[in-house]
Formats: sequence, C-alpha cells, structure tokens
Amino acid sequence: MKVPLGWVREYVPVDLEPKQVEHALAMAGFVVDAINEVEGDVVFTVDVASNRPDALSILGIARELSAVTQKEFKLPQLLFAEGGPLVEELVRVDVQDADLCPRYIARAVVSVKIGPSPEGLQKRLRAVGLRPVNNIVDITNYVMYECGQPLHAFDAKKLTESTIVVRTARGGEKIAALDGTTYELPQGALVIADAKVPVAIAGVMGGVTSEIGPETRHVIIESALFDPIRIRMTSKAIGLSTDSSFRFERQADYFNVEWASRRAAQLMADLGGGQVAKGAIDANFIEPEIRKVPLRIDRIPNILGVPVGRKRATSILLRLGFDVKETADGVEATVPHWRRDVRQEIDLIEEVARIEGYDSIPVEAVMPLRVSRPDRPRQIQGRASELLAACGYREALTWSFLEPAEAADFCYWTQDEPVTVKSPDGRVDKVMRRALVPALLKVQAANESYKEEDGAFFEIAKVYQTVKDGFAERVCLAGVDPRGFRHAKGTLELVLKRLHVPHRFEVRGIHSLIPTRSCDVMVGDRRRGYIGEIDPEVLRLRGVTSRGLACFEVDFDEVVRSASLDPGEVGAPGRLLPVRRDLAVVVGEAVTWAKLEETVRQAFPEGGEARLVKVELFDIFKGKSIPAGKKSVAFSIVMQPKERVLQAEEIEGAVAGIVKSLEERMGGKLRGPG
Amino acid sequence: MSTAEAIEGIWGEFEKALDRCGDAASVENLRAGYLGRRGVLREAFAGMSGMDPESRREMGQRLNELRSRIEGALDQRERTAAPTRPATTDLFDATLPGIGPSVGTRHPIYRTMEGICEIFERMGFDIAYGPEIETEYHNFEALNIAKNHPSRDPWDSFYIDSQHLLRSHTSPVQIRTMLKRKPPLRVIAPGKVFRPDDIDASHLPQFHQVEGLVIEDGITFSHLKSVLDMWAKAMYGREIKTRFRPSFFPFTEPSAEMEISCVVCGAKGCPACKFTGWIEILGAGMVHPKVLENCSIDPERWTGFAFGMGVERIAMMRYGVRDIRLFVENRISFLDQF
Repeated sequence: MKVPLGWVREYVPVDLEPKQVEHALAMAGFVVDAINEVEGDVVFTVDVASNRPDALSILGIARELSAVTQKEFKLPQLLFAEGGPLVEELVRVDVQDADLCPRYIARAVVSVKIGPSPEGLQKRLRAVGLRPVNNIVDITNYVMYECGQPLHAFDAKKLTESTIVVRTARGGEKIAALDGTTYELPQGALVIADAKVPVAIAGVMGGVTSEIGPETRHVIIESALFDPIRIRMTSKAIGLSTDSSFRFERQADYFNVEWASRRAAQLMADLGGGQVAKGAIDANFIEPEIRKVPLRIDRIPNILGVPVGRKRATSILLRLGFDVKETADGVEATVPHWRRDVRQEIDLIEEVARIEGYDSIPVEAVMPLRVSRPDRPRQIQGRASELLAACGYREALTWSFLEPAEAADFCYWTQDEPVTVKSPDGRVDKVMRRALVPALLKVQAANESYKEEDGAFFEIAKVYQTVKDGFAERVCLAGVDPRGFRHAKGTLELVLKRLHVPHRFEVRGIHSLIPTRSCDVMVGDRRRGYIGEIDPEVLRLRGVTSRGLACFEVDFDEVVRSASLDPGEVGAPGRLLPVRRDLAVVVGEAVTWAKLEETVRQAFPEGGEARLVKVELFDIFKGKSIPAGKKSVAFSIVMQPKERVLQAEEIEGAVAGIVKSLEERMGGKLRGPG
Repeated sequence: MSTAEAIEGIWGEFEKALDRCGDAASVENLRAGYLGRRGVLREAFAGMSGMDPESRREMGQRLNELRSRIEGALDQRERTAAPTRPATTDLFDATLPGIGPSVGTRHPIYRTMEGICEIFERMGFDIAYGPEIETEYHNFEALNIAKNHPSRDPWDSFYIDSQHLLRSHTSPVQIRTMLKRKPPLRVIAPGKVFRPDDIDASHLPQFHQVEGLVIEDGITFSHLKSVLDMWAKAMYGREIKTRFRPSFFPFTEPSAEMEISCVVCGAKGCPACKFTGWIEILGAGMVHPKVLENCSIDPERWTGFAFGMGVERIAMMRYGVRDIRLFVENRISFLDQF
C-alpha cells in the first residue's frame, strides 16, 4: 500500500527522516518496498501482512508509528449536521443474505454540487496512485485510503424504485462496470442491485448505470461488510482485483463500517456542498463481542527469552489502541475492534515483542548437545547419487506431474489409476507421475534439440498412485543412458553392488522396451524394477532422436531396505599369485553369455586346490573367419590357488575340463591357441 | 705472484666460467673442470710440491678454502640452473588435453538442500519426512490456517479431492512429527512442495523447502535467533550478520522474517538487496500454542520454534542464477558447471 508521509503526519507528529521511518516500519513488521517522491511528499510503498487489514490504511500505519515512536496519535473529529429528508425516504435496503453481507450502512447526502475535489485532496489521491474523478467519488476513495473501509457512492436517482438489494447474481446477469468493461457475473457472485439489475459488483467495482455524474444531486453512500471468501471468489472469477476487493478479501472491520460512513458524509457535506440526510440505514447490525485478553507478565520471558516489564508492556498496548487493566499477574487488554487478529495471550506477547523490537532479544541462547539420528534412506540416496554421478550420470530435477497423454508408458509398478490433480484455473488436469523415465526422456529430447546429446541422466524422486484407501508414494531411481544397454546395466549393477544390495537381472519382454533387450531387476527374489533398450517407436513419439537409448527404473524404497553402506565382514586377498587364462570359443549365435558363464563355472573342479574367482568377458567377434551363425566369445578365467602354488598339470587340467564341457554342452570349439 | 693473488686469479676465472653456464649439464662440466681428477684445483695442489713448508701450508689452507667456495657456488648454481634438454628428440606432446573419466553432476537444488540440512544435522537436528500428497488437515487445519485464509483457496493449491492436495509447504511435516513423536524434538524436513503459480523467472509450480522444528525445555525466541544466526554464519560465512523483523504466519507467533546482510555487496546496497543491504532468507517463529494443542502438546509445558526456507531462492543467490527455470530445464551445459 502507498503511504504518503505528509498524510500520516496529519494523525501522528512523526519527525523522523524517511530512512528512519522505513526502518521503524520494517522493524514493526511492515516492510517498505520502495520510497518515492510524489509532488513534494515522500511516499512509502508498504507491504502489509494478510492478518493486518487495519494497516491497509493511513490511519493504521499512523497508529503503528505512534506506538514505535511514542508520539501521540489523533483520530480526525467527526462533526456534521444532519437535516432535510430521512434517509429512508431516499432509499430502501434489502440484504437477502446476512452471511454474505453481515452489515450494510446506507447514508444519504442531498443536493451535492459535483465538481473537482480541492487540490490538496487530489494530490493525496495521486500520491497513493489514484486518478481524481470528482469530489464525491474522490471522497469515497480518500476515506478508503484513510481508514481502510471501501465505500461506494450511488446516484440516488438512478436506482430503480430507490431500492438497494444485496443478493447473489442470477445466471447470465451482466454488468457494465466503471472500468468500461462488461462482466458476465458468475453464479453466486455477490451483487448490489436496484429493483431490476445489478448496479455494482459487491466489494469489487460499481456499475455505470448508477454512476455519479455531473448531473447527480443526491448521493447514497454505501459502507458495508462483505464475506471475504465470496469477494475473493468473484474477483478471481472475473479477473478483476481492486483496492476495494483487496481490502474486503482480508476482512473489513465491523465498527469501521460506521466510522467510514460518517467520515464520507462529513466530507461530502464539507467539500461537496451537500446536506447529510437524517439518520442511517444500518441493516443487520449486531453487536459484536468485545474481546478481553489476559497477559501474564511472567509468560513474556518464557516466550521471548527476555523480560518486558508491566509498565512497558502496558504503554505499548495503549499506543496500539488497546485498553489495559492491571491484574494480579499482569494485565488484561481489551482488544480494539480493528485488531481482529488479536485473540489470545500469545498475540499480545507478539505485539509487545514487535514494538519493543526483535533486535532487543539476545543471540546467545544455548541448547543442550544432541546427536542427530542417522538417516539411512538419505545416506543411501546420497551414496547412490554420488556413485551415479561418478558413472557419468547427471542428476536431473523434473516435474512430478505430467500431461495425461505422457503418463501411460513405463508404468512398471502399477496399472492402478494415476493420481489426478485438479487444475485450479480450468486448464487440463495434470496427472501425477507413476514413473520417472518419461520425464528423463523429455530432458534427453530437450538437450538433443541443443545438440547436447551425450548426456546420461538419473533422478531419484517420488512416484504416485491411487490405492484402495487413498494414495501411495514411493521413491524411485531412474536413469537414461544414450551409450546403450550395457552401460546402463553396468552402472546400475555397480550402484547396487556398492550398496551391497543382493540383485540379479532376468530377461523378460517389457512394455515400451525392446522385448529381447529388457530385463527385470530382481532385488532378493522380487521384481523391483526394469532395465532395457527403449522401443524406437516410443522414442520417436517422445521426440528423442538418438537410438539405442537405454533406461532403468527401480523401486528405491526397496533398494534402501536391503542396502547397506558397509560391506560387513570382508575377506583378505589371496597371498599366492592367481593364474589367468584367456580362452576364445566359437559357439552358436544364440548362446547367451549367462549360459556360457554358467557352463564354465560348473566345469571347474570343486574342492580342488584353486577357486575360480573370475570369468570375465572381453570380446565377442563375428566376421569372415567365423562360420555363419556362429560367434567367437573371448573371455578370461582367473584361478586363485588356496594353499600352495598350482602345478602346470592342475591348471591345464582345469582349462581342458572347461573346454570339454563347452564342447559337449554347447558345441563350442576352442579358437586358436588360448 | 703472491699466494693470495694466485687464489683470487683462480676464483676470478671460475666466476666468469660459472656465469657462462646455461644449464645443469654445463654446471656439471665446470665442476669436473675445477674439482675433478684433472681439474684446476688438483693441479694447483700438485703445483705446491716445490714450495717451502711454510708457503706450502699457507697455500694448502687457502686452496682448501677456495675448494669449499667453489663447491658452494656450484651447488647453488646447480639448484637454479635450467634442466638439461634430453639429447633424444621425444615427440610426446605434454600440452595435449588430459583424458579424464566422463563424470556426471549432482543437481544444484539437491546440493543446496544437502548443504542446508547438513549444517542443521551438525546441530543435532534429525531428518523428518512427510507425504507430498497431504490432507487438508495436516496442510492447513492443524497449522491454524483458517478456512478463509487466502492460501486455502482452491486456486492457490493443487487439490486432488475435497480432502487431499499436493502439499503447499513443508510445514505439515511439523504436525506429522509432533503427532508421531513426543518432545523434546529437533527436526529438519526437506522436500518438494507445489503451488499453482504461473511459470516465470522467479516462480515454478513445484519447488523445494526446508522446514525446521524445535520443541524442547524452555525454548524461547532467543533460541530461535541464536540457532538461525549460527546456521546463517555456517552457510554464508562468519562475517554475515542477521536481522529479524516481525512477520505473519498462522502457525507461529511471534513470527519473524530473517534477513542476512547482503552477500553480494557486503551490505553496502546493490540491486540484489534492492539497495537495503539485507536479503530475506527464511521465515520463522515460535510455534503457535494452537498448533501445539492440535498435536496434544501442552503449550504451558513446552515451547518451541519453527522455520522454513525456499531452496530455489537460496540456490539462486548462491550461484547467481537469475532465472529459476534453469533448474528444471536440466540443460547439460548448465548442470556441468556444478
């Protein structure tokens, strides 16, 4: 809100420099976003918290400055004479829904002379960013800025049957508002209507049909209270936020409705040359409760860490407009009507702390020593992330929601319904993701479009699904790797191995992946994820141009459950030199490595003098020297002697056994010298 | 020629020769020429054979001194001489780029979040988590956020049904922690939050927060200030100053906004701090008695404080990122800088 310093000084004699005023306001909880000079006055743009609608006014800010500077605050005197007709002769008020309009005061000022406002008033309006219109309209705006209560002025003649009806809009009703726009009123929007049509969008903006114009003689001043939620709903629905709606949304003050009405009447009589009609219509008036809140002086240090004496606390509360009575253990504060936010003791302590200044609270408190609980999931996630980064994967951060069309594939976990999020603005609903890979493919595609094509990505984040009685979330780990299947597999294996997770891969056709190039990732004996090369058609649909892209996704909650940061008991390396032999065998193309390795391991004599510690693939070759339908598989075996150096016959015997077994079980032929 | 003159003559010649030495090899040659088996000094020693015993003793003494001087000069020169070029022509190009492994990166948001949490962990905070799909009760009601509070508007949160929404802040983890565990409590809750903001340079509908909660014996606002000041100094450096000013959150009272002295300009005033010298870092406050009551904790027996901060904002400041969208674009050329 814009606050001209000159205007503030009308109510409190602040003699601080603008910079000091800024600091004083900030330290009382009102941050100044900008200081500008407008026509010789200093104007502060003040940020007012949503619980302080009373401070959306010059008087409110003046009251705060009075408390901070200990200078006296003065409210303007309301003195005017009433005469002429009774207000009831000029207008009838019918409030149809008291919940949506808990108070409506109508006053009338007759025989006004429409003209420009005095220069001083116009200047103040310009300073707060308003455009002066004419004396009557300007006064409603002036009073709103002065005390925070939005007002509206109607031309009494233009109200059909001299009637004001506060009601909700009927389907299809429209209003031409003062901003020159015609708004279609949403059903349920609160309107001010005459006997026929809406004449104002309640609490938001007036309409042209009852506008104050040069010909206006009699003015009806509306000062009312409207339901904040309904005002906000209407304002959102028609996309129009005004000074008025902003204040009503934060709840106007029940008593202020009356003060503002009188203030406007007074000014219209003074500056508009009018006569205030007799009386006022006060629809729905009910006496609201007066709140009295006790404050124990001993409680202050328990909350703030420093004591504040009874005298000081009393003085602060008085300056803020509270009535204060001494009690046995402290004070009882009567809450002023404009401070609806103050309800209990803690609210009073905040007031005291705020005005006393948070700076006065020391920064030397100590807390007992305490060791935090180890957080295994986070430690394991951190370790996994570092390992993945070390394997060349970049960590991505992607959206948890997707467009519905993107959400179907890669849902390994569940065919249960995804969680749908309602779009607040009527756009298409979003779907919470059930898998991470789709988002990583988007990252891949986006980078490709910038010719950054070499990136492997991973993400550890939540996926969501509906379950029988609610929703389920689980953390997943996913990766995409343009280097292909074996790189992805090697990376995932490394991570699982270093986290000491018992796992294996089982070949199985998986949706969205090439069926012959995909595996289940088994953790223990359960399927906990997949890995594979992505179907080129899926890539094409998702705008990824690189081919051979591999991906994986595993249930990270399960990984954490069986993971360990420590390996447990470890063995010592063998002291005798290991023996390595390289072999190349020609086998049928369809022979898998898993089968071949198993054959080699089974052929190695158990219980002998050596252990088979490694069977390691190093080349697969197909080409001219290899018969069609065959491939050459080169691998090395490493034997670790247990107690003594191996004899040459023992080594050759073991190798011969392996070769023989490969020959018998898969028709393998040793290729060249081993 | 006197003995002294002879010695100085040898020294003078040596010094000239030493000056001409370019690299380590020539120094070594010079050493051989003077101290070697057929060197200048050896010859001078040999030349003493015809002298009388008196002169011989004097000459011997002086020559020994001279030898030490020459050795010292040679040693010193050798240490500073340019290394000798190898005789062979090795075509190895040591200016070729190194071959490094292809390594990935951690995302800046997670790095920042880890950094924030790690400091609190050192101060004895446990990590706590909560679901991202929250109930209205945990996200609003229990936090003393009234039904008519603007943040509860259907257009200010992502609702799933009438009772569930994507959490709009990490504060519900406070509630979950208090309901599950009894005080004393010292927890920190990092996580994702969601708000239907339009995407621009400073808003994303999905971002991250770190929430903190302390409920212990005799906790006061002074503890709040002390802990957060300590955190800020650990995060940004010992010279950083903090400032607390009143603010409003429904679930804390008194509430505060913590600012730190501007790290960009050293609190002198710059565009980053809007020329105020201060930068807003986090919101905090004493846990509202209503919130404690909602969690069956007696507010007369226990007091505590809570705080929350936006990770993206802190990361933007830390890395001088002016557009928050960079964090979700995941461009390789952006990520590889970390």
